[in-house]
Amino acid sequence: MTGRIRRAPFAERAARRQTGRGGRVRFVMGTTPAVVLDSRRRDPRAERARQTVPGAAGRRRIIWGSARPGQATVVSGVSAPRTIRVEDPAMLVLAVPDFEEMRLSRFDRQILGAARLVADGGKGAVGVLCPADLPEDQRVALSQAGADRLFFLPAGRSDPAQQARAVLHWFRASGAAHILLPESPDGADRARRVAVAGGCGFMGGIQAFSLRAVIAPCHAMRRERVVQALPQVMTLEEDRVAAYAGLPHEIVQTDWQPEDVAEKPVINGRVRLGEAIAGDPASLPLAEAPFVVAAGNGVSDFTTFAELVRALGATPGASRVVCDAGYMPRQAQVGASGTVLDAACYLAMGISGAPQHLQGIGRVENIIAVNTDLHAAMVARASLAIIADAQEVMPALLRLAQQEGENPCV
Amino acid sequence: MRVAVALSCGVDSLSGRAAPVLSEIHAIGLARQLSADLVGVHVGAQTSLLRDYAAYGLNRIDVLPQDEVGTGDVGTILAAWLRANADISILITGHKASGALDSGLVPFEVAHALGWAVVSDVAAVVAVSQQDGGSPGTMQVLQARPRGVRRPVFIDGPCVLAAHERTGTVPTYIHAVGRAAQIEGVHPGVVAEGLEPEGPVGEIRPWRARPRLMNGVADTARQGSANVLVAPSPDEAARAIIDHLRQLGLGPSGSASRNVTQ
Ligand SMILES: Cc1cc2nc3c(=O)[nH]c(=O)nc-3n(C[C@H](O)[C@H](O)[C@H](O)COP(=O)(O)OP(=O)(O)OC[C@H]3O[C@@H](n4cnc5c(N)ncnc54)[C@H](O)[C@@H]3O)c2cc1C
Repeated sequence: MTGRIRRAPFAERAARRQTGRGGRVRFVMGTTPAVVLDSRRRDPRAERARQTVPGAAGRRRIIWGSARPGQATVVSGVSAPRTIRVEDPAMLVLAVPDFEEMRLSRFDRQILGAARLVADGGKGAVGVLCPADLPEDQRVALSQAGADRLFFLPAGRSDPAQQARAVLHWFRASGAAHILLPESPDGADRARRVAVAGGCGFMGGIQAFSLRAVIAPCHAMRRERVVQALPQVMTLEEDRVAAYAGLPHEIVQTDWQPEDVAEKPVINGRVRLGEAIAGDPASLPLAEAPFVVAAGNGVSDFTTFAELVRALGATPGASRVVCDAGYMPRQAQVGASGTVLDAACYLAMGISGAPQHLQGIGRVENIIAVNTDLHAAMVARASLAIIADAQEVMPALLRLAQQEGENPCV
Repeated sequence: MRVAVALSCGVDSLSGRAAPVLSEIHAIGLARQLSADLVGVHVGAQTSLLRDYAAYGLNRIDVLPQDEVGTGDVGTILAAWLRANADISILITGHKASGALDSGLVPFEVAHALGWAVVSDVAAVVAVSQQDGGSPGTMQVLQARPRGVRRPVFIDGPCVLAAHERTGTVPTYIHAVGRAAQIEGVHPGVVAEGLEPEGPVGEIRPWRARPRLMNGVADTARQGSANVLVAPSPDEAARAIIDHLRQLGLGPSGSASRNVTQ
């Protein structure tokens, strides 16, 4: 109905009317004028349709009050995007994102957001320390995240001490006021190395971050420490500061030369990090497991369930009902009174999704639900929902998983 | 080979009473994997809590007095003590203290002062080779990373290892061992001048929960069942699940070999 234009027959007829020779009236029946306005009656839908133009990214836009209706024109979505360019900053704030898997994660963006906050407070610029072999597409992500300058660290991350030295080198060479890192496992380690090696003021695990004060817990999380003057080296916890959401910043080239690592004698190269290995899912603590398959009250065949978990290479979990009934150990319970998961994927077999249970999977991005009830809360939360009997799906899934496990050529 | 374990004597985060710090118990567990000749070291006052630590398998604990300079100097005092005890070439610490500033800097400070290597988040010791002098040659440890990922780390020479906050082995608690342990006050001698000050300590006040941002990623997932299969045949359902898992890099052959960190 929305797209339909209401016709005004009288007005259309009047528009076709032309005075011919001899005072005779003619009507031009060919092309009708696109829309004829009926002055007596407003047609809001047609007006709206005329004012609507396709905008950028497929979203429709409405141009209000265009001079003449129907004249709204398509605004080019590729008009040059405005960027912010910081020419000569009064101060510099460095951010050292983790670049896990060579990309800027959500947490990394938050660190840049915090650095942006400090820099904007002092008319400064944000410098990002990134690995020399950073893919080109990440530069766009960096400029959107609010980076003004890039400084390159030597490639290869196998020696944490060397990495920390390079960070400290840039910190000193650039004369930055502060350096911000994530309180992630690697970021926390690096920040402390830098702070100790450089004898810098340090505050770790900051929970509240503002220009006026930074706050971090101490005394076994029973007290907190409030520092008004921002320390030199800071690490922030995840989800404490919003990522930068403004106009992208332009990354300006700097002429600072990277430290020539080869020149200096390697002082401390006695630690070498190896290649990370995934844990054994069967013995992993639930809170650490990347992939959890859980059983609820809808599962009655626990032998197949256990086999399925093994075949999928997952860690077993359960709802409280199942643990209470003694089918699964209490350590397997997911939820408010059980374990809060940090998994990447959660496969829920016959779990209704009670609020107490959903609390345990709040951080999980991908949920697959198998349930007979289309209206279960778990189905609403899932990215893939199978409305079927778990007892029938499990053997089929087990068969398929075993087949695929034998010839994993997909 | 002698191995030292640094003990901070923390408080329980719920009750506020003196209690051993879990990661320091894990540190004792790590030390026991390395050697039988263990010595604990605590900077501060002698407390009965040290006997609790000792019961996990320490025969001796040295207590180093802390002058009025403050907590920032724990690293310097420990470094001076290690210099005086040249036969010790491995110091194992917890993740961070619980009851002081809890910054987690001490292992790094000690390593920096002595020029030792330092590795944080250690979950287990894999192998250690000894040189003739009793000092460690190369050592391989496992560093704990999120989602069960373990990273091997190879270390040469003397080092400071910081145990992981949650993962690790808890040795058996034997009360009699704790009672029999020798707990002595020791003066480390001349303490080298401290590191530069850590900056202002700031105001200390009762902790309160600070808001977290909503997790945007989970929110988008929560919005919708993009994909609902109503009453598929079991095989269709199985295929759909496996395909979905494949997209995530999980599944029968995926998760065991691939390392899923994000
Ligand atoms: C203080 C408190 C704390 C709690 N803490 C927790 C907690 O930490 N963790 C937790 O899990 N619970 C917790 N609970 C319990 C929670 O409220 C729910 O009772 C519980 O989660 C329900 O478990 P369920 O989904 O397995 O069972 P049900 O609610 O019985 O749901 C079973 C589901 O399976 C489906 N089903 C049935 N048959 C089949 C079939 N053949 N095939 C497929 N699907 C089928 C049904 O449609 C239903 O959706 C707590 C409760 C309280 C009061």
